[in-house]
Formats: sequence, structure tokens, C-alpha cells
Amino acid sequence: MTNRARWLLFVGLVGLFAGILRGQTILSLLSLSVFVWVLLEWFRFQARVHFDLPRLEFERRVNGSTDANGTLWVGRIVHIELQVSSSRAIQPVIEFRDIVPEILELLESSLAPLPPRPKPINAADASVLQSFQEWILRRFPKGNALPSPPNQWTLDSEVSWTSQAEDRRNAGWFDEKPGSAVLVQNCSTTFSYRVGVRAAGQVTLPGVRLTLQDRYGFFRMHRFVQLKQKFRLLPDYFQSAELRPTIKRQNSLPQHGIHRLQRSGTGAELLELREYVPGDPPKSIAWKVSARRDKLMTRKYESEVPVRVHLFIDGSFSTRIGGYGLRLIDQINFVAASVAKAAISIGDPVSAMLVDENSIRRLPWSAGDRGFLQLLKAFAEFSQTAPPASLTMTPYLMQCAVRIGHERFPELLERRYSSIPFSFFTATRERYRMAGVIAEVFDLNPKEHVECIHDNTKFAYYLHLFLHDAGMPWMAPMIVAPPDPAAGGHQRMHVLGEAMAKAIAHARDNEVFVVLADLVSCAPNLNQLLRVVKLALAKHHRVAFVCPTTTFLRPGSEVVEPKSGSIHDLMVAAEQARVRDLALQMKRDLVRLGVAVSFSGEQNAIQMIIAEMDLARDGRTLVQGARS
Amino acid sequence: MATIETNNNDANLPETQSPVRVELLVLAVDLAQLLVVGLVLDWLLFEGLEVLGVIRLGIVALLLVGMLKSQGWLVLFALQVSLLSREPGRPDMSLGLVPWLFSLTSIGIIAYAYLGKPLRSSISKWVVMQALFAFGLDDQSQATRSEAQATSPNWLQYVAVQFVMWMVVIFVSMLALLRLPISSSVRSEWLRSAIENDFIIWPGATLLVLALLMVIVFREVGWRQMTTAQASLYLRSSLVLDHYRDLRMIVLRQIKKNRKQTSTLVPQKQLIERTEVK
Repeated sequence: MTNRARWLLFVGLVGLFAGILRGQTILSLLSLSVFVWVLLEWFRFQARVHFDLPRLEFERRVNGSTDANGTLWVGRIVHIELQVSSSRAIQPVIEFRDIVPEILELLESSLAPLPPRPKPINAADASVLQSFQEWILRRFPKGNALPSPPNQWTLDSEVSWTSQAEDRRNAGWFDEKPGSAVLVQNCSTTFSYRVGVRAAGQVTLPGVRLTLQDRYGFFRMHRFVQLKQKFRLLPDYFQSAELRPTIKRQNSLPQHGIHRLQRSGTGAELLELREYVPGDPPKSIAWKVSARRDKLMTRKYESEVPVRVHLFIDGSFSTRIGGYGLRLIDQINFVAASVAKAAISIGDPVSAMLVDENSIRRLPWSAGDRGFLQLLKAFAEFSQTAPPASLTMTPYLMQCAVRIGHERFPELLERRYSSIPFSFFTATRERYRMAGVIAEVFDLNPKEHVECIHDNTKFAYYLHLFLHDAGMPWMAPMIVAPPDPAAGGHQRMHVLGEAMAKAIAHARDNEVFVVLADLVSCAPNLNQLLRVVKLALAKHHRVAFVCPTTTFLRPGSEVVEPKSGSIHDLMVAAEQARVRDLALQMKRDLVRLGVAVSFSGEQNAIQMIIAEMDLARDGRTLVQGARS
Repeated sequence: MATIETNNNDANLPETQSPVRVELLVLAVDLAQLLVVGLVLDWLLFEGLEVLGVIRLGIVALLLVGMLKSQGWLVLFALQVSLLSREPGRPDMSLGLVPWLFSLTSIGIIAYAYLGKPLRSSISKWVVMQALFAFGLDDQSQATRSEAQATSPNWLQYVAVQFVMWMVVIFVSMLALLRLPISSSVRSEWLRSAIENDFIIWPGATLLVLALLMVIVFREVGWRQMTTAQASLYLRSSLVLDHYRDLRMIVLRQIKKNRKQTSTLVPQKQLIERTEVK
């Protein structure tokens, strides 16, 4: 029952008593009639709930597929259609809401372009309905756009992490909103929307939340219909012909069926002649041609041995914090996938080491499209790790959990079905109810249920799980406080160095090691890693470092000036200055060793790595003249 | 077979009247509807009362604003206050056509307030459409026109059904008022029949049975709507509530013990020393 009905009943009750006491007939009759009317509406509403709801059927098509599992790509637009059908007319006001997790970004919601409409088959009222609505439409065209739903709702001003696609329809005869749909007898209708994928990982589209309400708004009921579809989200990669030269001047025609590697290298077959640049090996100088042209020319040979690329991907705590698409691991995934694509497309095998604070996972050498796909799947899986459960109970955590509970388990939060101990305080009662929902969702025994009520640690643990299952990123309230950047730096450098040492032990000559890690946050511990880097360089490998930074902390060479005198701006400027100093110091140390460093997770970093791969292929030592 | 009805396909619709003009017409009919409702309200509230015109206008305007915001209870409250002040008290509670008509009109107005804008705009658009047909201001074919004129709008059916329902509602209420011992005359009749029959002296038992029956029906209907998850939650929470004191004692003791263990941790060196001393 809604407040609307409660107010009406309250006023009616007061009037009824007054009328009876004073013996006023009309007053008593009117008040009692209101009572009986609301009662009758309640019966009608219950009948509709009982008979209409079970007849509703939902089907979701993601890019045209209804499969329970699938694959989506970051950065690509996904078309989702939700088909609602019923074997009988749906008269009540009803609202459908397809829940979209935060990792998907709602781009557009509209009524799907539908096939030509068939004639209504039987009911006279259906034809009346159609003709009437057609006329209304002809008279009052307002465009096809839906009334824009709130695409995102924020829990507070700091963080918005749940998005929802909402297709609201009032499926009654009096609803004439542009773009609305009416379900008549034996009916079905389709709502569609488009989403973009924000980050690699996994996503589960949980189902449809529907709200049923009578026409007067006296009674309302929420239900959640499970319609799970699980998708693996593969990272995006940069694909451009500009990254690598594609024109090859062939000196001889290969035999049929023989395809040579179209890259310069240290093979026997001449690829091209070009001007000498510092760093070219002297043995590659074409002396005769140089004498003829009166300037030094260098011979480029075809590559016969593929260059093997090792990717070291840092998945530590600091790389995973933030909203989907803005995390460091998202940038790392993008660079890693792009490098892997560039290498595999020319036949170079790629391997990866997935490193976090405690473990190292080595991926086997991958080649070909299938290998590339395996790599991307591994990256996606690596990006989808459960956060460390914070055992601190905060009001914000509770608030978020209650919101999610209302969104996904509305029927469990109905008061009449949850017996709770008595309490004067609303917050305590809310906690009791939420503990009941948690107990139901995670199938806890009575003792654990009561522990959730009284033990903050236990309750916080389950609430974290609850939010993680709902697809919440590593942000507040999942992460209570931002970690100390320097904390754990020693351990991370140790694990990363161990991974590199293992790779060096198994490597052959002249390979490329690409370290994609958040080194800025553990710059003081860099010396641990430098020893392994020196070892790699001594074994004639190429080493490149990519240290992505979040946009607002991108280190620049210029002095950071605070935007204003406010504390926030001063703190941001101080943080940027700190990161800039660290980055510059680190860059000096690494470049001194002959290691390429990039502090971005964008195209520049990819080009730098490909240049390093070309250098490894050519056998040269300097970057100048790299064909990129 | 699926029938799909959408109204997003207005790209090919013929434009005979400019939308602005039609919108203005709809707005005018909207205002006319509110005016009619205001007049009816004025009649319901102030019939037989001598109140200053400004006050009447102000109260009706306030109620209309409330209706625009779907606050139907305001209308009911105003009607009750009006009746309280002007209706003479009758111990016999005699019911006739006037109370029936008054209640029907009042409930209609309250329902109109709750249905709000959708109903209002539907009526307005239908009226405008009929007017356009009647005055031949559109270029539709004669067949289409006659077809549209022949079909009655769905909302009219709905309102008709609702009126019938409200009539039944008021009839039931009248019956209840006449049969239940509310007025003094019915009370005396009950008492007389109880004495004559020597059966019961007060209808309390009957009322109790009726009330119990209604409670059972309500609860039963409510429970029938329960989902599996709700049933599970209900059982779970009821079990916990039944044993809540014991469980709370166990859990709190355990928490206390854990806290004590955490707070009394001693360094390993001291522990070794203590062991050696022993």
C-alpha cells in the first residue's frame, strides 16, 4: 500500500468516526464508501498480481543472441533488446527495468524499430485501442524519443557506480507518451537500448525489475525476474597501419606458397637500403652504394627469427582501484592487447606474466588469432578479481547495500515477510532486514544470521561480497580508504623482479621484455627491480617500461600550479608535484640503463614498444631511425 | 500471435493541423475540464452555505491545485469538513438518493484527482479529435472519419465500468450502515430482536466473526502472493526471531571472546620467557 492510499484511508477513517458520532448520514456514507472502494481496489490488484504476473515472459537479446554466455569487447557498442510478452492483456500500470551493471555504460535507450504491425486478431477493444492511439499519434506527433530515464543514479556526490537502463511504460489505455507501447491481447513488445563496455572483465546481466501498480496508485509491488546472461569482456586494442611500415620492396619473388616475414631483421635476404643512422651495426653498411651516393647507406635484411615478446602485467592493488575504464589496469590491458596484436600479426610469439602482490601466473607462448584470443581471455579473467574484503562497517556501505537490495531483491525487503526483533531505531531495523536478505542470498544458518546483526566485521564481509556480486568496482565503499602508495612497494617489486628473473632464465637471446606496472607508487623500491633489468640488458634483451597514470596525476615536465587557493586544489597540486618528481627521478634511473620508459597508457606507449621490437629485430642499439 | 502496438511510428503521419494549434486546443479542453470539476466541487462543498465568493474561489482553487498534484485525499478532507459543518445530525441515519448521488459524485471527483494527467489529456484529446471531425477540419477520408466516429474511446468504457463499480461500492456501504448497529435506531432494533429471540444481547459475536473472516481472507490472499524466496526468508527470519535471545547471547559471547584474545596478544619473546619460568 502506498502513502496515497494510507492518507486516503486515514482521512476516511476520521470522517467515518465523526459522522457516526454526530449521526451525519452523508458524511458516514462517503467515508465508508471510500473504505470499501480502496478495499475493492486491493482485491482487484491482488487478482492482477496473481493472474497477470506469472504470464509475463521476458527474453533478452544481446547483439541478437539469447545465449546465457558470450563475449563482448571493450569499446564496442552492444545492442540489447528486451522482449516482454504475455498471453493476455496487461492492463495495470507496469514498469520494466533491465538492470545494467556499472561496467556497462548506457548510451541510448529507445523503442526498437519494430517489424510491420500485424492486425489485432480478435478483441474488439484491441482494435478500438489501436485506432484510437493511431489517431492520437497522428494528431500529436512529438518525435520518437523516449522520456529520458535517469541513466545513472548516484549514491552521493562522490561516486556513481550503478547504472541502469530503464524502459518505462505505462501500459494502460490512457498512456499516450511518445514512444510508448501497449500490450494488448496475445501481445509482446520490445524495448531496446545500447550500451558501451567500459573495461575488461566479466559482466552478468542479472534480470528485470518490474513494478506493478494500480491505476490510482494505491498499491504497488516490486518483483525481480531472474534473466541471467554472463559475458566475458575482452580488452580493446589499438589497430592501425601507422604503427608499423607495411610496404616492402622485395628483391626476389618467393616461390609459390612461401610467405616470408615482412619485417626487417638479421636474415640473409635484403629487404631495403636506407640512409645510415647512428646505432646501425657497421657490418650492415652498404659500402659500394655509400661510395656511389657519397653518403653512408645501410642494408636492411629480412627477419628470419621472430622476436619473442614478454609482457609483465601488474595487477596489484593500486592498479585496480577506481571506476571501470579509469583504472590503471584498464590502460595496461589496452597497451598489452595492442602490443600483443601488433606482435602476433607479424608472427612474433607473445607470452605474458600476470603478477600481483602474492602470485605470478605465466601464460604460454601465443601465436596466431587463436593465441591472441587466449591472451585476451586471460587478461579479462585477470582483471576480474574479487577485492580484498574490507572488514570495516561504514554507514555508506550499508546505504549502498540497501540500494542494491532494493534494486535486485525488492521482494525480500518487503516488511511483512521479514520478522525482525523490535527496535526503536530505523537504522537498526534496516540492518535487521538487510541481515535477513544477506542470510537468504548467501544461505546462512541462524547463527551466522545473528552474527550479521551483531558482528560488524562479519556483516561488512558479507556486504562486500554482496556488492561485488552486483558488479561494483573497487571504489568507496568497497575500498574504505585509499591505500598508502608506498605500502607494499617492496613486496611488489620483489614479485615483479622474480617474474622477470624467471622469464630471463627461460629466454633466448634478443627478446623484448615489456613491463606494464604501476611503478610510480613504488618508486623508492625501484632498485630491487633494476638489478634484474641490468641482467636482462646484459643478456642482450630489450626492456621497456610502461607506467600508466590516472589522468589527473599524469606527470608532466612543467611545474604544477594549483588552480586556486582551496585546500582541495592545493592537495591536488602537491600530489601532482610529488608524482612528477618521482616519475622524473625514475625515468632518469631507467633511461640511464638504456631502458625505454613511457608514462602513459596510450598510443605513444604502444609505438615505443613496437620501436623496441624493431630494434631487437634489427640488432641495433639506438632508437633513432626506428621505423615507426 | 503477437500483436504489437506502438506509437513511435509517426514519421509517416499526415500533418493536417499544426501541432501548436492542436496543443492549444487540448490545453483549452483541459482547462474546461478543470472548470467543470471546480464547479462541481463548489456545488458539493458550499451548497446551502453562505460563504464569501473569494473564500469559495480560493478553496476551490486550492483543491484544484491539489488535484493537479494527485492529492485526492485533500478533496475528501474538504468534503468531510464541509459536511461536518453543514449536515444536520440524524439519529436514524436515513439514506436516500441524495446521499447516494453525493457520494458517487464525490468518489468520482476523488478518482479523477488520482488518475490525474493521463485521464485528463486522454479526454481532452478525444474531445479535440471529435471536434475536428465534426467541423471537418482535417483531410482524412470519409471512411476513416466515420470509422473513428463510430468507435468509442477506451477510456469511456473504463469510466463506465468504474461508475458501475462505485455504485456497487456505495450500495454496499449503505447496506453496512443500515445493517450494522451504528445509528441509534438500528441499535434499538438489534436490541429488540436480541431480546425477542433470546439468543444474543448484542451483535458483538456476529461482528467478531465477520471481522475474523475478513482478516483471514486478507491474510490468505496476501500469503498466496508470496514467492519462494519470500517464503524462505519468512521461515528463516521467524526461526531466528524465535531463538533470538539464545543466539544473541552466543554470538555476543563469541565476539567478546574474540576481542579479548585480540587485545591480550603478548609478544612472542615474553611468551617464551613465561614458559621458561614455569
